[in-house]
This record gives sequence, C-alpha cells and structure tokens, in this order.
Amino acid sequence: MRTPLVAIVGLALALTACGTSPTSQAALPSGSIVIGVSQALTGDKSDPGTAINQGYAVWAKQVNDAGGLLGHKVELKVYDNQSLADTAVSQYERLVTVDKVNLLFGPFSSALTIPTSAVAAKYKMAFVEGAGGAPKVFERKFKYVFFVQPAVAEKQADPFVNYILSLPAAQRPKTAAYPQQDDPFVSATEDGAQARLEAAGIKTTYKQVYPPTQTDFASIAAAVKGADIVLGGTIFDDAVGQVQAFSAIHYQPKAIYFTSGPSTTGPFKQALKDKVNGIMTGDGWVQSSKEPGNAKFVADYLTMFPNKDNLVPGEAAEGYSVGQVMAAAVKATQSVDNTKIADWLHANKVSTVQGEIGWDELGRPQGSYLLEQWQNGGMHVVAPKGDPNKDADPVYPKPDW
Amino acid sequence: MRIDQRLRRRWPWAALALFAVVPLAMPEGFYLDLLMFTFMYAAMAVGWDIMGGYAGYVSLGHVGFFGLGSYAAALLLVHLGLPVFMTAPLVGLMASLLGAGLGFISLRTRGPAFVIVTLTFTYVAQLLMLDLKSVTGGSQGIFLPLLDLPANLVIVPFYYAMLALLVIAILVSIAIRRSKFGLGLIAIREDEGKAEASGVNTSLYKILAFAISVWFAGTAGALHAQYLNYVDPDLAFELIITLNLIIMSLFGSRGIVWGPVLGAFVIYPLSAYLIFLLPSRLAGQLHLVALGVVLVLVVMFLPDGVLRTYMAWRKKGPKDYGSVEAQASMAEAPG
Amino acid sequence: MRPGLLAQSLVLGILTGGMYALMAAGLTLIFGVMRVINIAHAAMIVMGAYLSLTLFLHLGVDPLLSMLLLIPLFFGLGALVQWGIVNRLAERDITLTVLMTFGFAIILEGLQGAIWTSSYQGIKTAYSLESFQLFTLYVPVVRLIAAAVSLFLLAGLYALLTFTMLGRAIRATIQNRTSAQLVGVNVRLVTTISFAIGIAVAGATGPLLGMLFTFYPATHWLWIGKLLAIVVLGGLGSLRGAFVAAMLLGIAEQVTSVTIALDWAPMIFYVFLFGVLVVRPQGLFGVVERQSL
Repeated sequence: MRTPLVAIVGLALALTACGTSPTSQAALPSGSIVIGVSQALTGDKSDPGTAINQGYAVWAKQVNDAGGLLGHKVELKVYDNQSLADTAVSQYERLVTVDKVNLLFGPFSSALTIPTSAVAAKYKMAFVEGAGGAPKVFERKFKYVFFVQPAVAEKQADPFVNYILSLPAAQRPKTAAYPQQDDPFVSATEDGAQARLEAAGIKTTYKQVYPPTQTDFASIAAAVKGADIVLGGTIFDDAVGQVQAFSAIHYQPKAIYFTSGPSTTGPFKQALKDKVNGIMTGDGWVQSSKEPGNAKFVADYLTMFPNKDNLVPGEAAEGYSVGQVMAAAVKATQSVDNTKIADWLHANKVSTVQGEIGWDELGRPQGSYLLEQWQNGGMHVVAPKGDPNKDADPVYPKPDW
Repeated sequence: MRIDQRLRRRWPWAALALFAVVPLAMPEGFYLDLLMFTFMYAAMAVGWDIMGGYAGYVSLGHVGFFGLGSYAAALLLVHLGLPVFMTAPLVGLMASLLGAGLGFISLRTRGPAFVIVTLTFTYVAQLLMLDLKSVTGGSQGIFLPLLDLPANLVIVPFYYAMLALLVIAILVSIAIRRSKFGLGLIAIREDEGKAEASGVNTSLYKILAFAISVWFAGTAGALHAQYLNYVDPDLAFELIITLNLIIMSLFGSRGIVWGPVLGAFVIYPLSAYLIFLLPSRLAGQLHLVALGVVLVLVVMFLPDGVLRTYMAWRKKGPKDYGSVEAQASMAEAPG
Repeated sequence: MRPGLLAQSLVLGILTGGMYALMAAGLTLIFGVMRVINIAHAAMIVMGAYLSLTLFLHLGVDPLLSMLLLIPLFFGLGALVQWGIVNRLAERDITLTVLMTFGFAIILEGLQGAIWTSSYQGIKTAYSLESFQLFTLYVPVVRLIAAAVSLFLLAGLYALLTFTMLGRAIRATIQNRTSAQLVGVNVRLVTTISFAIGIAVAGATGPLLGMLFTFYPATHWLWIGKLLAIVVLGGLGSLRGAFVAAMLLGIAEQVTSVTIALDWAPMIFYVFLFGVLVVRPQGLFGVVERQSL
C-alpha cells in the first residue's frame, strides 16, 4: 500500500515542478495571434450564432489581407457549444488554459454570455462580445466585459417609443399589446417601453410571456387582436410566428415592433415575403449605413457568404464590430496584454460599422439605437430625425397584410 | 490469483490518492474541469444504477432532480446566504423526498408508469422553474455570488467536492450491495412477483432505492450551480445528462458497483473530446448521433456491459447469469 | 374576458385536439401490441415533417400529397426496424427496448440537426395564411385541414381495426397475447404489422405538424411529453381513450392559455398525467389496466 502512494505523490510533485505557471499569454506570440470563440453553431441559437461568426470571419480575413495585427496574422479558434451554457463554459476554460489563446470573442445571446463572462473575468481576459446586452450581463460588475452595440438592451425600443409619442394626438394609438418571449434581453426592452407608453396614457390590453419553446401563436393572436399597436418581445422565429398568426385572423395593428427578428434580414424576408412591409425594429446597424468601412464590410460579406437577396444579417455586423474594437485596442496598446486592453477600452471610444462606441466602467455602451422599418421589401432607417443614416420616413399606420 | 486479488483491493485507494494530488500537478483549468465532470457523472451514474441496475427500473428523469438541486441551492444561497458546499447534501435530501413522492405515484405497481413519470417529471420541473418567475427569475435564471478565490484556484473546491461525492456514491453502493436491502432489490429485478411472494416489500424497496438514487443527482446539481455561478431552465435540465448516465451505466455494466464508474471514466472524456474533433459546424449534431448510436449498440450487443462480459469471459464458464452475478458480488469489494 | 375569445379558443382546441389524437394513435397502438413505450415516436413525427418540408421546398410537392409517399415509406421502415431489431430485443427485455427507442430518438434528433440544421422550420404553403370567417371567429384553413385529415385517417384506422381480419388479430393481441397465439394468430407478424402501422401514422402526422407548428430537431421532446399525457389519460393501448383524451387536452390547453396564462398551458398535460396516475392509473379507457400500469 505504501509504495504506490509514495510513488504517486512523488510523481505529482515532479509534475508540479515542471507545470506551467497559470496564464502568461500577455506577451505577443511568435506566430499568429489566436482568438478563441465558443459559439452557438448548432442548437436553438444557431442562426444568429452562425451570423456573428461570419462577422468575425469577414473581419479576420480583412485584417490578414492587410498584413495582420501588429504584423501577426490573426487566427480564429472556434468551438461549437451546441447553444449549451455549460459546454460553452468548458470550452472557454479550454481556450484559455489549454489552447492558450491570446484574445477572446463572445458567444451569441445574453444567456450564454452571462456564465462565460465569469470565465473570462477569472482569467482577466477582455471579453469583447456583440450579443450579450441584458442588464444581468453587467450586474456582476466584471471589469472585462465589453458589449459592442450602441446601447444596452433596455434602451432598444426607445426610438420607437419616442416616435409613437411624437405622433399628433388624433393619430396616437390608445392601446398596446406586449406578447413576449421569456428571455433576459427581451424583458428588459419590453418593460422599459411599456412603462413609458403607459405613463403617456396608452393602455395595455395584453401582456403575456410565453416560453422559448412556444410554437403555436394562434391563441396569442386571438387574444392580442384589437390592440392598436403591438410591441412583440421576440427573438426571431416567434416574430415570424406572430405575423403569420396575426395575418391569419385578419388582425391589422397600426404599428408593429419586434425587439429582434426583422433585422435578421434574409431569413425574415424569406419566411414572410411581402408581409414584412411596415414591421419595425430597433437596431444599431443597417446594411446601407454610411459609417466608415461599412461599404467594404458589406461587399466582403457578400463575397464570402453570398445569398440570393444580397442581405447581410445584423448579427454579422455586430460580430464584425467586435473585431474592429479588439483590433483598435490591440493597436493602441501595441500588445495582447488583456489588462492593458481592458483599461484602454474603458478610457476610449472606437469607431465601428455600428457607429462610434464607448463604454462605462461596467462595459455598458453609451449610445442609442436606430428605428428601422421594412418598406418595399427593404430595411430602412426611419428615426431618429437628423441621424445621418436616416433614409426614409416612417409609414404609419402600417400597410395591411 | 492472490496478486490479482490484492491488486483489485488496492487500486481504488491508489486511484483515489492519485486524484487527490492531481490539482497540485495540473494548473490547467480545462483538465481539472474534465476530471471534475467525470467524477460528477460517475457519482450520478452510480446513483442511477442503484435504481436502474440493482432494482432494474430505468429512470429517464435524473436530470430533473439535478436541475431542481441546482435551483434549490441557488435560492438557499441568494435568499438565506447559505453556502452551497454546506447545503448541497441537504438539497440532495430534498431531491430524495421528491423522488420518494414520485416513486409513490409510479412504483406501486409494475409496468411502464415509472418510465413515463420520470421522463415527464423532467419537463414538469423545467416548466415550473420557467413559469414561477417571481421565485426563479424565469428564463433569466439566478446568479450565484462568485466564490472569493484566486482565478486558478476556483475550481479546486469543486474538484474535491465531486471527488468526495463519488467516494460516497461508491461506498453507499457497496453497502447496499452487501445488505439484505440490496438482495431484495436484485430479487425485484430478477422476478418481482417471486420477490413479493417471498416477503419482500417491493413497493417500499423500490421507493427507497429511488430516493437514494436521486440524492446524488440533487447534490451534484447543487454543486454544479455554484460552479457555473448561474442557473437557468435550459442549463439545469439538459436531457443529455440523463442520457449520459444511462449510457455510462449500461456500458460499464448495470448492477455492479464499479460498472457505472468505469462507464463514466470512459464515456465522459471521450464524449467531451469528440466535440473538439468534429468539424465545428456539425459537432453538436454528430455528437448527439454518436451518443444515440452508442446507446443502441450497447443495448443490442453489450447489454451486460463491459465489466460483466469481461468477468464472464475470464471465467470461461458458461455465460450463466446467476454465476456471473455471484462473481460480481464477490469481486466488487474494494478493500 | 371577451366571450369571443373563449369561443375562438374552443374552436382552436377542438381542431388541434383532432391532430393530437392522430399523433397519439400510433403511440398507443404500439404500446398495445408490444407493451413498449416508443420514446422515438415524436422524433419520427418530426422526421415526417422534415421530409415533407424538403419535398415541398425542392419539388413543390404539397404537404398533403407528400403524406401519400410518407405513409408507405414509414410503414416499410417501421416493419424493417421492428422485424430486424426491436422484436428480437423486445422478446428478451422490455426495459432495454424502451432504452433503445430513447437511443433512436436521440439519433433522429442529431441527424435532423446535421441535415436541416437546428433552425426553426415551418411548411408554408400558399394557403398557410388563409382563414375563413365563422360568425365572428376566424378559423385558420390549415387547422381545419389538419383536423379533417386527422379524423379521416383515424376513421380509416378504426375501420381497419374493427372490420378486418387483421384488425381482429391486432385487437386480440392487444387484449391477450398468449390466448391470441392459442387461437392461431401469428402474434409476431401481427406485432410487426401493428408497429409498422403505428410508425406509418406518425409519418402521416409529420406534414400536418409541419404546417401548423414551428419545428426544430429538439421539438420532439416537447411532443413526446404531451403524447404520453394523452395516451396515459386515455388508457395505454386504447385508441378510443386516446381520441377522447386528445380532444380534452387540446381544448384544456387552449382555454388555459387564454384564461390563466400562456406559459402555464403546457403544464395542463402534466397535471392530467400525474392526476390520472394517482387517481385512476388505468386511464379513462384502460384496456391493459390490471397487469400493466
């Protein structure tokens, strides 16, 4: 009994002696700069997850074609987390401790960002992410999370609410319905909008939260019918489902806003054809944006990922912006030292295809969203007034479907 | 033969000693994470086997107890400030009580009720956590405060806790196997009618076995919640956890203490590595297919599992269930 | 609450219940003859939906027409799998057979994800968004079609079981396997055919599910939960019971979603499931009550 024990302890001590010290990835590598991502490439978040990764890929290709970052090629190391949070956590552990990547990009959705951001914080890695904007992402006060969209989730519907409240009294809707998915990002947006609309005297006729697994919208449509406007708290498929169910019972709201969905332009239009017209959403980016670099991003995206409608999903722009932000910080600090990168990002603003973005001490972006509307089969920026990207006026009431 | 027996007695202790010093030698979080999850699955699989192997009633609902354990621990920590390492065994007891209740509904008679109830129990538990928004936060889940430890040490307490859970599971399983209770469970598996006729209180035995069986799932769930510092309905109730337990038990050998342990130590690392080997676009899907294929193949061609088949083969005797069974009970005592 | 809303939900409930009945029919039939719960049943239905979607998108085949193809295809597959794999195991160990169907469900889910990705899908035909007015109510056309087709197929199944030699043999096997064998029924063959019929019905339901609901590979878990509730409430093995239970639960689900809350509607199925197990384990119309549940 004694012999194996002694041998094992000895072996272990020997291993400890030659074991590596924890995470010393701050120095610039001799080869490529490796960026680790655990992404929802399969599972229920695979559509937006894939789109974000396409944005990462477009950015990486552009950087490498232009000679790399600080003279090093960038390389994306991507694992599929099946949209499962604990798999994502294990994979970020692996990316940091085994693959020893230099930098990290975030996964899709707040639900996956929340647990994985703790891994990044644990190893003091800057966690630049384009799709985790729910309040809970920032509640834990990590100093290493940076959300790359113009503003946090609560503010997403603000431009829509501003627009509705700016309508002359005679046209202003009197009732609103809030069918919404049970999702952290959605409820933050919906609650904010509902509070403001109710304060302005617009009555709530329907508010129900349905589970992410809801696939049948007929009974929701029956109950929502009659409200002047609908603020759908949706992700994607439920937005499609709601429109189909509303139009099936000939319900014609004067305005309809979805928190997410309409900006995943290609699949949304494919699913709904001309029923997309009039639908509104809030987003940080539009394909026709005049921000510097956007035209090249759109062109390169369509070369790398051609599709028959020539549409670029909003998530791809978010992914691309993540790359832009990280590149700016690496160049400015002349290093891949994540502490320096995080410090720099807290102190500076970065120009992205979604506009210029700066962060507060918790990594919350400080800008505002655009109000977008589908018109004549295309997505247009309709508010706020005076925004350089505004290219159409809002249509209200929306055309019948 | 003597050396053989002595080896068999010593290797569990040697392995335990080895695992106990691993964290000193391996600072890479990922490998510790891998070992920790292997312990967790092994402990739960040994627990599953108390019901699925000894008594022969397969549960498709262990992840329900795992998930509720996660929630219970999270709520106790957030509302009462009770640390998870303290509450985890009690959370396990809550799972056991619930298991006894479910057992009462579905185990009073023979037949398919148990399979149906355990499978749907998972959905019920998940729906409850999703819908009781004021308590559980719905799909937004619950945050647990982070442990106040240096980054590379955070995993260490979980590593030892899961290792301890595995040791407890093995000891409990051995104790049951050697007791009259264990013999009763095996009698139920072999012929429930006969067991009942010979005076075994089959309903009570089955309910008790199930309650013990789910204690490990509930306790593991509690620890898991603190490990991720977060719990939500998707994360807590992944059916793949139940699937893993079944595959591990069947592959290793049902009804033998070390069967599920062997199964977990083979299946979990392979399964975790498979994801990294497969092309990322399809990894998740092909991984699922692989697990399903393994289950079907084991059910068809290796229903006795690796250990029992190996023991039968080594004895070279006729493949008689009873005699293999007898060897198994002799062979599994560790020390 | 508006009375129109309740009426609307009743109509929706009845129409949806008709389809639930068809979905559950195959499951309860397979249980009746084999005493095996086919956990892969809903995954087969979803497979039918995917195949129908593919035929529709690439060849323009109407989903209702694709049923004509799916029924023989699934019948053949069901017969093959039952004869080649399931039967051998079922005669040895029922428990392992259930685990095998669990494995089948996982394999189907993974394959669907690999082939069609895990995106949400729906079969959207030209008439998908049509509806017609019934007094003050709008009834979606696809719901009506689905209910009508379901009733037609259920009637066919009922006629098959009631008026044919095969049907009598199947019913005899469900009631008592041993005595069926004694009176000269080829129980093995009858079991294979019944299993194949059950799978064929699942295949036929696929296109209907695809037209009415959003589906993705993992949806089958939600469906198998609902279907188990229906077949247990109706009494395992009872086709008539499954029909009544499906109607009841279809209506209860819709009414709950408008009167109590949307997110509690799925719970209705499990309330009934657990309630019936406590109060009356053999279900409403239990055929195989005494020995099995």
